[in-house]
Amino acid sequence: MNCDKAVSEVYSFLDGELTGVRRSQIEWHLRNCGPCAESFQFEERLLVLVKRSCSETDEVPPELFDRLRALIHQEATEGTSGE
Amino acid sequence: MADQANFEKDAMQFAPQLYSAALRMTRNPADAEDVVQETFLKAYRGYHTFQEGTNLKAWLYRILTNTYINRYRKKTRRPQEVELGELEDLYLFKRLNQSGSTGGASRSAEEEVLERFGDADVKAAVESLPEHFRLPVLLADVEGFSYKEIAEILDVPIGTVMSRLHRGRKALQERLFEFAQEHGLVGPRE
Repeated sequence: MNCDKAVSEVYSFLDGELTGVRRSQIEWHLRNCGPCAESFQFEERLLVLVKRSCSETDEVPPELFDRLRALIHQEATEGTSGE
Repeated sequence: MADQANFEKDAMQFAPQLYSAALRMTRNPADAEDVVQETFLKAYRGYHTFQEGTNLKAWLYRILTNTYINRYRKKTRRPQEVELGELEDLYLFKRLNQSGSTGGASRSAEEEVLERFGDADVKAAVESLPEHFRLPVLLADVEGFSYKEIAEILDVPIGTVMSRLHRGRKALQERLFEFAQEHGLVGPRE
């Protein structure tokens, strides 16, 4: 495992999509390579920042729930009356 | 097979998440609401095809995403298949590292710049990505789906998910770096 190879798999690694030997090889590399460890940490921080920025709870319009329920009930009634 | 009578009880809990996701996709509250309503109607009608015990959230997101794509493509007449140029790995990290304003070789200098981005700036950068790349980024980074789940939601191979997600993230980094330059968070381009 060299730096280029480790870096090319940074996202698969951080996303938890690597398992077994490949994951261990990168973990081992990161323990022994300061610059790679630093860049991986940066990428991880950035992913956390993106998640935080985009997942603030949006105000769900209170009528939305009512409208969804009404839609379902209407569909349910029409569905049975049509039989 | 799921019982339609249980739909409301099972699915309504996901309404707030689906609405937020729809808002990220459409960037407009009225459109987001329409997409969520259509999603629930389709999901209700097709609920008997949902395999109980499998991932209901992913199933609903699949319908949501398809609904959004169909509406969006109808609206714009043709899909926006913008291609992004190939960007190098660690794009932002390397740029921040090269720009002199981080004050030397401090270990966390690049991360300090990250702290200076406001949530609204990052959100705007994500929303500015072409749809093609924005959807995988939202599904992975915000919703936390695995590559396999995203492949199922978008109905594309896992390799395509990886390629779009990784390129979308790099494009996002490019936009953040431009933002950092415009707002004086880093030195001017060399």
